[in-house]
Amino acid sequence: MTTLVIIGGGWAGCAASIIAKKLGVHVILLEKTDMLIGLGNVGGIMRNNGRFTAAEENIFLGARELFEITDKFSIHKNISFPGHKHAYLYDVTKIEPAVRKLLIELGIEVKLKKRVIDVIMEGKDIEGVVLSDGETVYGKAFIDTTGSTGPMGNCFKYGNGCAMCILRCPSFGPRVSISQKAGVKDIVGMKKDGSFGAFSGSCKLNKDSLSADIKDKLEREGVVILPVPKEDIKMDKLTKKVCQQYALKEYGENIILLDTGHAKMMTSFYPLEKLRKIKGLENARYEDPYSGGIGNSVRYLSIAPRQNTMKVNGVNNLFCGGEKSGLFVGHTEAISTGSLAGYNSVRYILGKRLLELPTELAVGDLIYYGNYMIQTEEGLKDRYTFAGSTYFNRMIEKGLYTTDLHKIKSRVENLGLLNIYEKL
Amino acid sequence: MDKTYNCIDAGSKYCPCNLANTMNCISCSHLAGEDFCDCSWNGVCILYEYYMNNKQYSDFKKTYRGIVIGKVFLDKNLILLKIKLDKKLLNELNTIGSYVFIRKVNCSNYYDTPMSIFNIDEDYIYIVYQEIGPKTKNIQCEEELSIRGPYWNGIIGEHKLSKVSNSNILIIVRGIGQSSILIPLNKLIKRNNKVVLFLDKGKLNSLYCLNYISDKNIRIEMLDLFSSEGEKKLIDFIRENPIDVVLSAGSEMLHRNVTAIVKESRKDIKIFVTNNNILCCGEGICGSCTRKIDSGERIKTCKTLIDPKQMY
Repeated sequence: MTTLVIIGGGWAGCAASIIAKKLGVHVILLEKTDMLIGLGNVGGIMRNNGRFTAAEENIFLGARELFEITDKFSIHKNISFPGHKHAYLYDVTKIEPAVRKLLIELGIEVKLKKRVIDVIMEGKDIEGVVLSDGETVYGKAFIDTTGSTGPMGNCFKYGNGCAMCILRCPSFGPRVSISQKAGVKDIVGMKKDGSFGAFSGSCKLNKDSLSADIKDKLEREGVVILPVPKEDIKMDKLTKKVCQQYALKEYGENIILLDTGHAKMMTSFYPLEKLRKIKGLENARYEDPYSGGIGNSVRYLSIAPRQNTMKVNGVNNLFCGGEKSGLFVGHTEAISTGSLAGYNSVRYILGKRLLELPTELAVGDLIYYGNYMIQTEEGLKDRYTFAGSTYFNRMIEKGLYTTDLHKIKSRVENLGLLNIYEKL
Repeated sequence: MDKTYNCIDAGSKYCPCNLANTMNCISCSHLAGEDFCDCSWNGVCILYEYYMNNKQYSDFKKTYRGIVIGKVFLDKNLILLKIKLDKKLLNELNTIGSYVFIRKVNCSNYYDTPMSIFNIDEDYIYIVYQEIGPKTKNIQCEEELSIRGPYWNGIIGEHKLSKVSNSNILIIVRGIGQSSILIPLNKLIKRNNKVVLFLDKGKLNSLYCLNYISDKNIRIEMLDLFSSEGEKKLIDFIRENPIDVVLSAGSEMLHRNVTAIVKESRKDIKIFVTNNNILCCGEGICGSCTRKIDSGERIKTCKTLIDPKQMY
């Protein structure tokens, strides 16, 4: 049987595994922690701004399953908050088991607590991957969806130290760059000041630790905006975060809380004693990262150079998706890149020409644009997301942004790509 | 850069060590001068520990006084010493692959000689050695000895042999290799492993280890490993039995032969070998135990966990 091995069970790895499995190959998904969807366990924002267009494009391309789940588990739909429209917020406390169930029902061999530490090469092909417990997993093609966050040493050197995020490196071991082990040097993203990496853009407060008023409002409306005391406003911290779409003035002057099951706070980190000066947050405590008062995870330190087909340069049978494939932010971006990686890895296994999505689609254009920009120094300091900042502006300029389902469908259909992920 | 490896001391109270201070850490890529993480150490980050401890590295292993309680002449130049030791050090030595550096109290540390722990009990360690060169001669005449430790990489493997359980293990012993197998044997049996011992007295006239093996369930095969008959027996046994782990205890030639047989017959067998390299400081500093592996890299065998298949 032809086996596809996917390393990293975040949104990108899950998306890749679903597409590949539906096309009939044997899929092994290796995840180092005890949970799938990675940072999706603490994220939760879908369909805001251009992500709506991208989500629908993915659905028409044939990658619908994960969007069905995120829609189903959304506790707030069509809400607005500064700079963002028609956002869906899924419940991070409930979604992972649903994704896991889906993957297992599809027949994907999900292997948790399996950390890949090395590759076995035969020329420019990966023959197998070696796990930390000594086991070797062989395959015909491989997808690196290991992300770009951490491990502890990187968070220490380029951030404020381990903030105890959902990746839980001390418990499950460090992330290992598969592409780098295969001999391909990682690309490294930078902050605006030229230093390496960037902080994750949000943290979560325990909802029960908020005042009853704030908790009620949050659960009713999905959003609560609280002004930051003047003496504590620090606009420069916005330049250090990953999520440039949330690096707006309003996010420096206010605490913006979103209800994703926890109270998602749209700032990388915030000293607890200062946070507790804000009315209603007197008893606040962090839910993720546990040490959100001192820092957050550091990301973008490990990106694989790749083609727009998601194939990694320099290795014949390695593909990539998610943050591993560019300076992308968000679940929708991970599912978009992961799905194409899953599709093309199967085409590779079957000896078929690889698909490059046209730039007439937002998904294809993001994959192209992210790859183009990463080759410039300025581009290395930027982030690319359908939800805002540079890329959303480009979407608007190119006329790609729309919430009109018929328009999106006909766009995909006219390019001959309707349900393409289900066909070979 | 050179690849990072796991280090036998990683995560212990002896980590981070002086190698972190000189940017030569075996496990941490940052502490080996690299810009980004590239380690396979699955535990609390060594870089973190180093900085959280204000860049203080842990002390070198300490030197203790050991009192020679008894000695037995097992053969010509082959001596067993029973040494009373500090309880703290004893506890730390009670593990597979442990060794110490021994010298006469009044000698300089040039005389430090590495000795594997043959046996251990509540108050004593037992070592068996051959009296050959300037380091070992006359040790047995002393009432007190300087003993530096604990060191743990006396048995080399990619993982720790002490973690193996519920497996079929073949221990192949020749000559003075007997000095290294008693603790592994006892501990592996306690972890529900099934052990078979292939025993060759080699150039010695003594099978002294047999006097200390109490478990009657261990199958023991006597043979001459370097005869064609013995080699065939070993090959057939490895091919025909569901062996998970092989421990080779003996000379470099034995390690080479055993590794070659395993490589040819069953790639999935994990190999461990006794550390025969020239150990002088045990701290990864002096370089005497440096060994070139298949990839061309050089590793320090006093501390590095590595698959012997890359060395033999």
